[in-house]
Amino acid sequence: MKKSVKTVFWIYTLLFFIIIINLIKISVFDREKIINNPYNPRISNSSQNIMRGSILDADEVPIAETVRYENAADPRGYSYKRVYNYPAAFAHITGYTGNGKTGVESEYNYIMETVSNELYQSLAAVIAKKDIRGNDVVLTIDADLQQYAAQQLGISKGAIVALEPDSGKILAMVSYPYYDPNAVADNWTQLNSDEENSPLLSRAAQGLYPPGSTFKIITAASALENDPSLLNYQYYCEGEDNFGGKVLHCYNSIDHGSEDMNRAFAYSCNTYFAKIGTMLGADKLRNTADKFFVDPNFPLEYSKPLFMLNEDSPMHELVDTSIGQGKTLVSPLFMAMVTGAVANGGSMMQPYLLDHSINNFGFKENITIPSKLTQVMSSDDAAKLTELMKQVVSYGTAEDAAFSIDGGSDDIISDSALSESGVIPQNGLSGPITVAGKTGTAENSGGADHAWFVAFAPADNPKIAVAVLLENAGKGSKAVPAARNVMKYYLSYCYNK
Amino acid sequence: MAQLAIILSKYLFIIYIVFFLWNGFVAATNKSIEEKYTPALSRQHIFMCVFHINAVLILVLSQPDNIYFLLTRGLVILLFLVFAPKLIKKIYPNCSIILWNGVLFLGNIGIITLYTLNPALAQKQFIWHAAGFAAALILPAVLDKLPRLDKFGKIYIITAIVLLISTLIFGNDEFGSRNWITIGSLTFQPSEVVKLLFILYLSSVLSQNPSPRQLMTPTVLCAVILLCFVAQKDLGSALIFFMSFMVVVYIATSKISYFAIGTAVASLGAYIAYLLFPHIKVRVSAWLDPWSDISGKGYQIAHSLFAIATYGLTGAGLTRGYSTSIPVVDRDFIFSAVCEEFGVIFGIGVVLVFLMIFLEGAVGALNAHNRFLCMFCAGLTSLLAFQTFVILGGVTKLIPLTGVTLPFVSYGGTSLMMCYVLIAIIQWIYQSCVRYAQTAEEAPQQPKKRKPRKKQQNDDISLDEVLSYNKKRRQKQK
Repeated sequence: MKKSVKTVFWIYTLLFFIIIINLIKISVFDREKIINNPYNPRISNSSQNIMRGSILDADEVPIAETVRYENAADPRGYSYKRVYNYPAAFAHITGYTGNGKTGVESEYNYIMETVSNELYQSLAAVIAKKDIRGNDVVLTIDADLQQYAAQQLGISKGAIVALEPDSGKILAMVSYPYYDPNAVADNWTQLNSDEENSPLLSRAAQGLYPPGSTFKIITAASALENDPSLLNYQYYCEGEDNFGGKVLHCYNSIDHGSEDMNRAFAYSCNTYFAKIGTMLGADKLRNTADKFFVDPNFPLEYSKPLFMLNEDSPMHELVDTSIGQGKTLVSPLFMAMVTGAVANGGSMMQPYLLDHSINNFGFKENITIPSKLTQVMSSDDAAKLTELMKQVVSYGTAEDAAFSIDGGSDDIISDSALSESGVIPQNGLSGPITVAGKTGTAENSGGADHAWFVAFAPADNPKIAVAVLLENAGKGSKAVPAARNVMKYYLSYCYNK
Repeated sequence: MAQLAIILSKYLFIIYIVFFLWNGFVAATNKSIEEKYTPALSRQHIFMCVFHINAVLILVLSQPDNIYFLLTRGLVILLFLVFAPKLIKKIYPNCSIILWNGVLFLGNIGIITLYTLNPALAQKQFIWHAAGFAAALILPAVLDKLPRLDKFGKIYIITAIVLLISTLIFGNDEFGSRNWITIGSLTFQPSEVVKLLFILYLSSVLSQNPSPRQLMTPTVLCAVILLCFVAQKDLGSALIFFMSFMVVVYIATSKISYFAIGTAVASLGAYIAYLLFPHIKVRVSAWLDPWSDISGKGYQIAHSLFAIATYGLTGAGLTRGYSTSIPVVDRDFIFSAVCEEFGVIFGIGVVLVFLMIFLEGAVGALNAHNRFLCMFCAGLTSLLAFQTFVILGGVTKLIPLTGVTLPFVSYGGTSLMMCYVLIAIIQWIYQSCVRYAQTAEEAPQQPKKRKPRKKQQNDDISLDEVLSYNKKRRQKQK
């Protein structure tokens, strides 16, 4: 009897220790997931008493920061306000605070509102009248490259996304038109009613466009995956062809003559790839596309790309889809990921924006470790595809994309933000750079064609992958210079910095 | 300045509870059965009072307009905390101070948390505490006067069944369960009383080493009562009731196989109930995945987890939590609010204070000098322990959530009174066992006060056993 009482004694102990272990699990291991749940009412609230952490670029240059200003109405004599230092280049990255929160302000709100070493900071606040500061967020984006990309985009509607293929780091991501996050509250109605420009929309991540011929990367990948001999498949292009009643034209109805996949890819022949698409069938094309169309769980507002083709789709849809028309819709960020995957031996990396955070003592926290999102193709196929993409630049539709880096006396420096400082850092690569790319001319219902160009460089040891989209700019080659300049700028000045 | 005080206190609260627990541990491992009062216990008492003073100061700092109200109430509660253990020690020198320290500390944590949520409720809660404490002062004296409790098994079970049936007929719905009875302006939950009566019945029926055949009737009755609870949608009570039943049967028979069979049958029953009753299905699916439907069925659990996890191990600081966003926070979910404001480390401390109380209850059962008292004490302790487990497990997503209150911490008059009654009975058993051991020691030659009976002989634990136990303890102390 006494023994059974003792057993019961141990049962109580066991049960309550299970509760304790579970409490530790919730508050330590599951904590991040629970905190960042959008339904958690605690995360959307900012405290008036603490100085929100800054958003810094990769070199810890402040992009958004909270500053004191004189305010007689406040018992302390001052209040805090949020200042955005690069509204043009970073509006869609930082997002805004005030009328709700978006962008990094929303996604990493908890980090910026978290006060590390609270006791120390509160003591310092009482004794030395210091601010109680939240943690700073350090992005993967370099402000110089971001501003340069914004310049390249200029005042044409569109987006540029650059990422590091082997890590998934977002190097630059700009959209035009932008808005001024400093004045969101003042311009609120106007920003929301401007449907023609929709400045609040991040075209880079949320804009969905038909991919045009850039989709031939996926069609070619499917061909290489299912039948490697298709690389040498010969076809005679007459500028148009009939596929089960659907007549398809090449761009401007140019006849490309007798060609294999190399030439067809370089000149972006529509009939060739439509033919390849019909030979593969909807099923196989869908299988390959499914590997690319995965959800990257991107930290900012993100529109999932659409791929509608399936076994039951009619012939004309299969033909359209093979050349990037039809119902497929993608974002510039997605195309940058696709390009990055080819550059990275077929392995698509998880794109990320947060490099790490910094606490009040300067220690790094929340360091992002690059992770693979998915394997979209074998490294052999990726190498073959890279060869195809190199030919686009060496003799095909994007001859303009080639560049060389020669000791820093290049014309792009005059555009650069760095030139103002008089110091020209030159520790990147030099000599001629091989570029691999693919143009795209996307027909759309909204007017003139969208110009696409996706590329990575150097082709044999890729350091940067870029996707450029210019709305209604015409044929794909229009998008080439912006991509070339961004790659050149990055490889000259930012890479290895 | 207020902010600094709040943040500093966050750490101080953790220190208080750690010292409270440490001294409780020292007292529990050191004391002999007859020696109840040690310096460790008075230190424990001091930490409890310091906790209260500190918490009231924080409340005053954060609500300067309410200073008079908070200070006077704080002072009254402080006086209560200071004198309650001394008073009870005076009246019942043999009671377990460790139990009272734990109960008063938990009650105080509950009151302070309620002050940050709803001061009016906190004030009411304190009055309930005072009433409960008064009841606990009287009850052992009354029980001493009563004849042997283990002789009226049938009366207990009949009363229990009458109560249950009347709930089914006259009961009204509150918080989704049909288990409340209103008499005049007073509402109470008969299920609490039924649980107590059944434990009483079980202990008296099984106080003679039972044969499997004798177990039949209690088992059938238990099943009937369980069904009543399930029909009333009072799943928490059903679970607590069943687990306590198993504990008493296990202590009575010492057969782990009964435990295994019981658990297996109950699991099967639970599964059938899951298939039959939609409200159980909803609870289980909310437990398995609260995240998929946060605005709907997962609302309560998700918001509880938000509260526990967001501010992590050291919490937001008293008054700085977001606890009003938690549903039923003053009752079932008060533990989430405690974790949010005081931090999870403090929350773990609270769990350990509960454990301290229940282990002390188990020690009471261990020291009991007859089978009836032993089972009764263990059964009552189990009622409290499993109630605590069920709600703590529920709000932390360890087990499906069933609405029961957290003993001594949650707001609620009847449940608080009931908890005090259970503690008072456990105290009474504790005291009478100590007294029995003392009288036995003083006159070891006299075999027994009561007339020896045939059956009685094997009920009682032999006198030698008690004496040698005490001797060992004393030697250890020296």
